[in-house]
Amino acid sequence: MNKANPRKQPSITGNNMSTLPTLLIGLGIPIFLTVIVPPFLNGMDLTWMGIPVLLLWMFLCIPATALCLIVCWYGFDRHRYLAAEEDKQ
Amino acid sequence: MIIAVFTVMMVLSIAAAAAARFGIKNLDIDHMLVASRSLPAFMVFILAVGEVYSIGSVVAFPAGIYAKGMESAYWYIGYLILAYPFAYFTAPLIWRAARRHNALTVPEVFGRHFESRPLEIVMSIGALIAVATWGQFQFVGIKVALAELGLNLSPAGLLATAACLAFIYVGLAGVKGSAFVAFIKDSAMMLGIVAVGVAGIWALWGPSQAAATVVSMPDSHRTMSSPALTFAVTTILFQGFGLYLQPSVTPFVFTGKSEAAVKSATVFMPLYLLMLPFGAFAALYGLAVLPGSSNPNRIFLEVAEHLLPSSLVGFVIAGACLAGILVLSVNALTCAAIVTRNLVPGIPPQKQRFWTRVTIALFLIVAATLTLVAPKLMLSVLNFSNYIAIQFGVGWLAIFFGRRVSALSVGLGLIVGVGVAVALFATGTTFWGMNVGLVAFAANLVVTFGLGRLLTGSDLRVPVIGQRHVAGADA
Repeated sequence: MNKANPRKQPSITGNNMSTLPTLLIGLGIPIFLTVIVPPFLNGMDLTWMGIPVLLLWMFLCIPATALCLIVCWYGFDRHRYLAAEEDKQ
Repeated sequence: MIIAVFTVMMVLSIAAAAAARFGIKNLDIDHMLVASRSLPAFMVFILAVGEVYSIGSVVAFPAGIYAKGMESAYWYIGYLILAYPFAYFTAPLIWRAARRHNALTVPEVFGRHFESRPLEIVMSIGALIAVATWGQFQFVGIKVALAELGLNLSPAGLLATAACLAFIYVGLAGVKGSAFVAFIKDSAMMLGIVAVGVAGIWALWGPSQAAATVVSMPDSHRTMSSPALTFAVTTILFQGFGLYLQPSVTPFVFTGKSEAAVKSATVFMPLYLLMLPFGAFAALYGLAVLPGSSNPNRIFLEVAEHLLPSSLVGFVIAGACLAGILVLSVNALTCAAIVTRNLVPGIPPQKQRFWTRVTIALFLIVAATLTLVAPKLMLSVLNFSNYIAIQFGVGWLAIFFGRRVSALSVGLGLIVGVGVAVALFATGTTFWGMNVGLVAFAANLVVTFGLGRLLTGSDLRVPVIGQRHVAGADA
């Protein structure tokens, strides 16, 4: 259904496959932060002003995850998606 | 004062829904369901966050911390955080599948992808059940919030009022009406949560305190036991992966105007979660100052009444109610679409509107009735709803990646998954504390892909992952 210019379409960007770096940054790091680290914090039973440090850690994970996705989108994926859409028009 | 502010907010929300109607000459079914697939990225953003940051974040999340401490807080924050990284990769594939099959509802995508009418019907029934349990979750929260107004209304009266408002939002302008109301709801809700959270922080640690308060949490609240930790980790992975694949959330992805629009919409969504810490601080204040509340679901609003002037309390209650009612209205629309397009197709166009309204009303009645049998703590309702809804995730994986899968294997997989989830939940069976939805998901995976491998001969599917990107411009 698409007869786009093949020079502009290297095979991997052609169907917007998620590349390994975006999977590592966009999914790997957030999983590491929210699933791998917390059991250790839970085991240590640390508190600050009576608040479990794990809770504060989870708060920190929120901007950290947004940052990961921002890097993925602006650093890797945005120009590929926009180039593919321009091709269509 | 509380009631006056609350009423003003509700009138404003109805006005917003009415404003959404401008520019739509003829509210046809396309407009009603996906706004003609024309919403820009920020509208998709507003709708999807409206659904996700539902009444759960205002009422259920602080209640969970208050009743169970870290055990609830960890998985609730964790799964919402992970939902966006997963959605970043799955949302464009969902959009592509819907676009390829020109589908407006979830069962349509499945029915057309696997070229099977029976599968479309199975998926329709499954989706109706999943969406109804999600609606039940909203009603539980709305009941809690409306009760704080102190009106002398019976629970049935409160639920009926909420149902009528939900009916009005979608009746006026369909999904676009909901997007407009979502603006008001989001600002009220965010302001409400931040106000209560900041007031709590101020009261605990502000300069008026002689010494910095140390929040005293019971030991059981501070650390998780190992089954609780297992539950939390498996829940985060399961619900995070599945959030966008639930039939109540997926339709929002359809409303985007391109793959780039739905993908980029997920990038900034985690920032919206920054309101969760404020809810958590409200709960911590509750633990420190108002321990022993009889109904933990009420704790956030109790803290609000304790700390804020009454006009702000009305604002907070309005935000909470709007959040719940808005999600109900959109879900009612989703159900109506499934019934009129998939379960009983062939209704003549002039009758379609009538049946759409009947289904919306029926959905609201069923979901309200279900609240009578709801578990006590709202977050348990949320878990149960997810056990069922995320079984759709396996079917989506089959559409994304599956070559050797068939309509039969996907349909049976869903039935087995939902069956196992309900059976495990009803009997209270657990496996080392793991989220039972994940166990059911594994059974579902085995049936869908295992049976698919046995059944398919040379008749291979074309998964959407292999298809070239389709831009929004062509049709």
